Amino acid sequence: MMYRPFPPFPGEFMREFQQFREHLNEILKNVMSGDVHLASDVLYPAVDVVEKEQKYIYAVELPGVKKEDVKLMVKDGTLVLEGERKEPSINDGAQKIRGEIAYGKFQRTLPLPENADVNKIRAEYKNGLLVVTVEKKEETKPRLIDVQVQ
Amino acid sequence: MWHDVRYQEDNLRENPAEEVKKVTYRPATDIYELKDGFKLLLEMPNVDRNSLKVYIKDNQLHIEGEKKKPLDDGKFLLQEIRDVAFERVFELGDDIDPDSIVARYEQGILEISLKKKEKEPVKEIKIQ
Repeated sequence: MMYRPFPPFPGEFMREFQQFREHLNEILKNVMSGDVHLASDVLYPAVDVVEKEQKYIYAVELPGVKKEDVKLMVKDGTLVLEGERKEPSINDGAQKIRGEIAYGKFQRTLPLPENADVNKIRAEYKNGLLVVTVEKKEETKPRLIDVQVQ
Repeated sequence: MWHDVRYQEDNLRENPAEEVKKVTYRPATDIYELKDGFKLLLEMPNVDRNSLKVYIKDNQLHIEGEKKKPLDDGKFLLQEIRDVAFERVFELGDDIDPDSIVARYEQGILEISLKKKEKEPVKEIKIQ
């Protein structure tokens, strides 16, 4: 779901900031209905980030976006997602009589942890969900130690 | 036309004893009027197709489904996406042919097309 919430702070994994921002966004989401435009012109798609044993997974809700309108890159140890969500071209003398979907430019800057291997990134877009998988650096992956029993 | 019905409240009045599914999300909807029909676009990324239901009942268009969290396993470093059951009900105008409904779910957008009724020819009645 795309809306225009308070943007995350760069490098924001500190719980206090995260919780504070999430709380504000929760209030905003409840208040919001239909066309509400904040000062910011940029949309912030909702993101979940999960750490697994071997990798990190970033999931971004990005419905109705064309591949050529999305740019994903690694810049200074952060994952940068930007693009534009354009209104579909509907012909046949179409007239919009209700408009609740937010269109426009979007952007998210998400930190990549120290042990993320930036050379092993994979991105998939399905059902309006962009999933980015980043492998952890080999030497930082948990390794099983063989216990010798004497 | 296209009056947005607050389904949950209606349901409570009719069946107070029945458990109403907790709907927490109304997907953002764009509606276009075309020359010979209407097109609705509903924003719903990552929806389980098995849960997605679109139907017309009593001249009302119902859209329901469930949007699951994409990641459920592991340590969360950031959590913004919600697990929600959603629903939207729209009142259809008299000029819409309910049998013409076509729905398509692509790239997280549900597209519903409906055609306007063809104007019935005026029936002239012979006076005896």
